[in-house]
Amino acid sequence: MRMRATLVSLMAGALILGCGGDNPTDPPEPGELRVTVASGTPVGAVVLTVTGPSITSPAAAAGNLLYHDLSDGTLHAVVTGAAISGEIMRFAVPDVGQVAGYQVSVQEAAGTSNQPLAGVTLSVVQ
Amino acid sequence: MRFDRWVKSPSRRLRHGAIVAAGLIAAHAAPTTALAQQASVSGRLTSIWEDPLPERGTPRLRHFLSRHTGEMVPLRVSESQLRAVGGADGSTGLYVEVTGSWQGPRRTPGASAERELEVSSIRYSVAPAGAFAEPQGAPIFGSQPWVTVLCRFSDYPTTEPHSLTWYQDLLGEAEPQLDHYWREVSFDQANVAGSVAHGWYDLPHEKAYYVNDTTGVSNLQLLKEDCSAVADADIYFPNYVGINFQFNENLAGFSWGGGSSLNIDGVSRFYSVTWMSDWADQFVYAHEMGHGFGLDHSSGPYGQVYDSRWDVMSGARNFNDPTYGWIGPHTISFHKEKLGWIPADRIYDARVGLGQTIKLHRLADLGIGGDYLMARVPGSDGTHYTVEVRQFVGYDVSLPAEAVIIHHVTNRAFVVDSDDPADNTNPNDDGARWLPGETFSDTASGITVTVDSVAGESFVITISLLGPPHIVLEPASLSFEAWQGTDPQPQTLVIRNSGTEELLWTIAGDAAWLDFGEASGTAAASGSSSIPASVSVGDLAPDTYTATITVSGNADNSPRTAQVDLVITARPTLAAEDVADHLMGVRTSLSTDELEYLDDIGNDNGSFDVGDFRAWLQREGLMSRVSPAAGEEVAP
Repeated sequence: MRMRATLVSLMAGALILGCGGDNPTDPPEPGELRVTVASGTPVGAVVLTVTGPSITSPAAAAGNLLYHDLSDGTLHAVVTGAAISGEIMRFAVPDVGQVAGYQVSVQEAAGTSNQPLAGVTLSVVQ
Repeated sequence: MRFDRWVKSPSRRLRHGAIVAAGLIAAHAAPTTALAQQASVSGRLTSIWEDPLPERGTPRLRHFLSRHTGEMVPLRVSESQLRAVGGADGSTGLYVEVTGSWQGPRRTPGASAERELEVSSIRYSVAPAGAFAEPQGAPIFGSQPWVTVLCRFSDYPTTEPHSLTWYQDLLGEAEPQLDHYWREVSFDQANVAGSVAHGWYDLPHEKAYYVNDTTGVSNLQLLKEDCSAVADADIYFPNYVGINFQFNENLAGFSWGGGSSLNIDGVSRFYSVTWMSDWADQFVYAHEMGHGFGLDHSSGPYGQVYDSRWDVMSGARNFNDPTYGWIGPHTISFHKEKLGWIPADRIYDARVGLGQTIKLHRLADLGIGGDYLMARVPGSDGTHYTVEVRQFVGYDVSLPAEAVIIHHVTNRAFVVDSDDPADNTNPNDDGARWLPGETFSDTASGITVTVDSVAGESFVITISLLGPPHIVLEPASLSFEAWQGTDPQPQTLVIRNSGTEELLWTIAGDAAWLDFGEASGTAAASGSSSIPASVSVGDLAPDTYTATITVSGNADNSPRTAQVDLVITARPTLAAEDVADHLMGVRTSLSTDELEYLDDIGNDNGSFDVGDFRAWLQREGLMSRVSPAAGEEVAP
């Protein structure tokens, strides 16, 4: 089922399980991971895909507009804005310590004049 | 060396030609002993050129009506009457009905009296069943066998200017025999292979029965009938396209060439025919056979006919062979083109414009470089010039010089000679030879032809042809497609000036939605102006609209118009979620038209992409509905 941009409410249990860092033996720490963008040219929009376990509650960063789909367990998203930079969106995961298990890829991007743009790099960070 | 030579104006030369023609016509119309018998006669119009020896005065073009019986009816007909059926040249072979009155011959009849029909009217007619076909005419390709029939007058039973063998050999394929000659002149596209000679045959009458040496009148009809009849047992005439009737005495100083009907061997048909005096040599044969192929005379511009040494169809007796007498040179490019012998891609047709530099190969052979063999330059009065190169080679070996030769073509071709006629009326000397550094100009027609250089077998020439500004619109029409409420991309209309003077133009459209970057401007000679044409669709409803662009100016073809079509298509109604889904590839529900619309209003790069989506969001005002803070729901 596709989900609209939703308000993510942090679960109290996640706060309890959040201690312990990335020690594999530590209990899971639910929380949010962030998607950031880097480009030598101002970015106006990007289509991206994030893979990883149990992604929920994607949300746009301040000033951005987000369209997304999670129907197949993969996060498909379109992020746009006047000019998107730095953190462009975030999403909830059961264990932020597993950040390395989340991969983001750029499907396509456009500059602020709506022309196709290459050289855009996305990252998932805690 | 001369520079900037100027020739006499073409109009003056034209008037001169007209006076000559008018004089001839006046002579025809002079009072005669009228038999005053009205007649209406049908047949094919036939022209025969009467070529005298130089001392026998002026040649003339005689017109006949060739009937299916073989009869040749001499006509007194004016140029204007012939023009009504296509002109003296174009009317040859036409089947017509002529009404007029029988008159005695223009010259004293004597023993060779023949009636002439003074034409009062001439009109096209339908050839009856069984009428012989019209003459072959141009183009002349392939084998053209002729038969030479040698006939002796009964009062000259032993006179033979040459033997049968000589006449047979004259038709042969060795240089300078006639088959060799026509092969070279036609670039090996026509020949007279298969030609034969027969004779000598004895005519039933004395020379005076046919020819009046005092008046210069010869009865071509009787000569043709009797000479063909006495030879008929040996010759099947329909095997040949042409007949040379060769006589053993002087035909009052003339030989003739042209065409005529002949009813013999059970076939009534048209033949190329010549009537040869005893003095006919290779040159005369080539000249009269040229008439038989349909060629007219060419000449200098001074009212003479045989004064040009550049053309076998004038008086170019340039070289004398010990066996065959005077040998003809090539004919001129105007004649070669007329007979179809110059390939179309070897003819340069000058157009309005400056600096048209071409290479002209000599006219005597095709060469190997593909250079042009002739140039045609149109005059402002409907006439034109031909430009050709002549060099010492082949049958042109004894020309007066190697040079560019220019002819002014009106009803026939006249050598362009820059000499002042008061001082010099020789069309073969320096004034007619255009050499490197010299320029021919016809100011009235805006023509200059400059000889730049000699390049081996070719000359390099530069032609300029002035013309008024001339508008060419490119493209000829514009077509816009727009989405409702969205202006299409501007297009460019090019106003090209193909003239040689500056064009002052204005542009206007008759629709409010059509606009141009500028309303007026100039385009230099052979230049252009590029005008952006834009469309503002405003509130126009989906529909098809048309408008007209009008470009006016000082051009000879002003104003010119171009149609503009505008097709406005309704804008599709889209939901942002659907568009985003399509973009992410999770659901492709958009139609081709919708995707095209999104691309058109976006970056218009031919495919739908995220830039188009962003542009659409901006257009729909949805970009303002962005997330004000992390985590806040956005519901576009």
